Amino acid sequence: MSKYNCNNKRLNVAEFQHPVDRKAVNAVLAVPGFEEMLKYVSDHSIERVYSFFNSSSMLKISNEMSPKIHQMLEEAAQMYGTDVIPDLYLQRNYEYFIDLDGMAKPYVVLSSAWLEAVDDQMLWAVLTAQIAGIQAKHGMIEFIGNILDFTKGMLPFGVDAALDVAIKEWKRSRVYTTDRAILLATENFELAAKCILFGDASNAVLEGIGLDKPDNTYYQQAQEFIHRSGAEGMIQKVQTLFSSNQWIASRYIELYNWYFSGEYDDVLEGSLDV
Amino acid sequence: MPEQLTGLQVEKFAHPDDLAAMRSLKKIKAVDKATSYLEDLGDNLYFRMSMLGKCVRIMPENDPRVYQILQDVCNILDYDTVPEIYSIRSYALDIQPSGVKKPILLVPDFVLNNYDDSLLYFNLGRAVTRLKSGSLKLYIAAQTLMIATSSVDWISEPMKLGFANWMRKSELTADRGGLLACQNIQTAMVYLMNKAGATLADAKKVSYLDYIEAYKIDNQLAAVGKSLQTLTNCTGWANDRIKELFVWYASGRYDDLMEEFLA
Repeated sequence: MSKYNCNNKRLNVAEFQHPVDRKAVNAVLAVPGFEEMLKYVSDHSIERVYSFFNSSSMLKISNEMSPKIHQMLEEAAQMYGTDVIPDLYLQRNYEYFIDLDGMAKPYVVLSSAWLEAVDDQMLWAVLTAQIAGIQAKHGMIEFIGNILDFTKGMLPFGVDAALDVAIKEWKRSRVYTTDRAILLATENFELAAKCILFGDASNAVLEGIGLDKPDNTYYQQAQEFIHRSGAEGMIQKVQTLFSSNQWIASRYIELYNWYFSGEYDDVLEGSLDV
Repeated sequence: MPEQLTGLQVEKFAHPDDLAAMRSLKKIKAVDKATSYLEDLGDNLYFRMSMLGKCVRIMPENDPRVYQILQDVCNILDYDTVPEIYSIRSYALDIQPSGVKKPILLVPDFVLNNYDDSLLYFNLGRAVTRLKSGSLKLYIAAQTLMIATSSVDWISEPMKLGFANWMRKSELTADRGGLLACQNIQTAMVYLMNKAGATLADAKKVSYLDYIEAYKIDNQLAAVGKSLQTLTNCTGWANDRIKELFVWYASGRYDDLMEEFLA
């Protein structure tokens, strides 16, 4: 029986992957053998370097060290019908982050401050998103991004920039997929929204917003951001175009709309049929 | 709650060097206008847009305590605009002010999670003082001039030293504004000792008079070294700020202002 309230559901990333994320993955998969080739190259190049770097400069969280975290990962993997469990590395850092990388052997680097700050509910929620990220082939995005960084300046004028913009859009849209994964795993919109804002607001503010309430103060702020026009709208679009990180305001509204559109209910219902 | 200081002007408590720099800026109309334009473009468009998208705005509904203190501080220091206030993930202790026409404050989550009301009055008081004094305008002007002259060392280097000197003095003005906002010298000293590196718990336990007494540089070489390092330091040494604020407080100027402006 599940310890972390996943109700024995079975999730399939393809059923809730954000369209931009899905389109980008499918474009790569459409070339026969390309994914396998990327995986081979990744495994024999950058992943070896990072594996050395991670194990020599960070703390690997073993099963013995934290059975709770491993139990959570196993249950999350079970929910997605996979046996791929990423290695976990802890990095001493005041910033909050949890990053998935690696194509052949996925691994997750998380910050000590984040781990100290989250409760079990949020830890479970975000770990399920890492498994969803593996299933959605998000390690592939990172690797293609690394190749593009490496070949910068070698490609014809304009091609570089176009590829850079495309990969950044993919990176920004992947978080929409993992935000949905958190919502589906926890069935708790307030918690999923809190995972988005966590680290950008004080505890008192997070408690006070009422993120699941219609027209809450953060919803108003996010709408104000999204509906900017004129010079402000233009600046926002340019800033977005050249960034790999998605705005938290956009993530919140995207998740909010998906939750209330009925799509969430359909996917959740399907996941419980098995 | 600390008492309102009706009609208080920054000129009444600003450090003389800070005041002189502000007055010089106001005299040069072209720089004043150019700065307003840059401020509109940079802060109000670019900066505010970023804050809206990646930070969480504090409102009376989601954090009544902090918002109420901000309103109080604006009243106490007689600043007529309540700035927008955003929370950011940071271990820093300074609240960062931005914008002149549409002011914004960025508050580190460390401050929000750990500072009690009195310390928030002081810290927000510092930030509001910087908004009220118009020092941000001078900051933009100085930055722009330095960028414009960066390729000519003999112009930009002396300018950098002058800029650093003014920045240090504007911090002293902000500390005085913070003290006038919280109206508690002990609180002001706790903040500055925390800034100097003491943990918040230790800063609350230590006597600031003992702390000031212990801060002495009695070695000539160290004094010369410190003077040289000070030339390019923009924020001022935390321990110097403690001493400066105490000297100003003990001079009786603080009591005079309280008497003059208490409603």
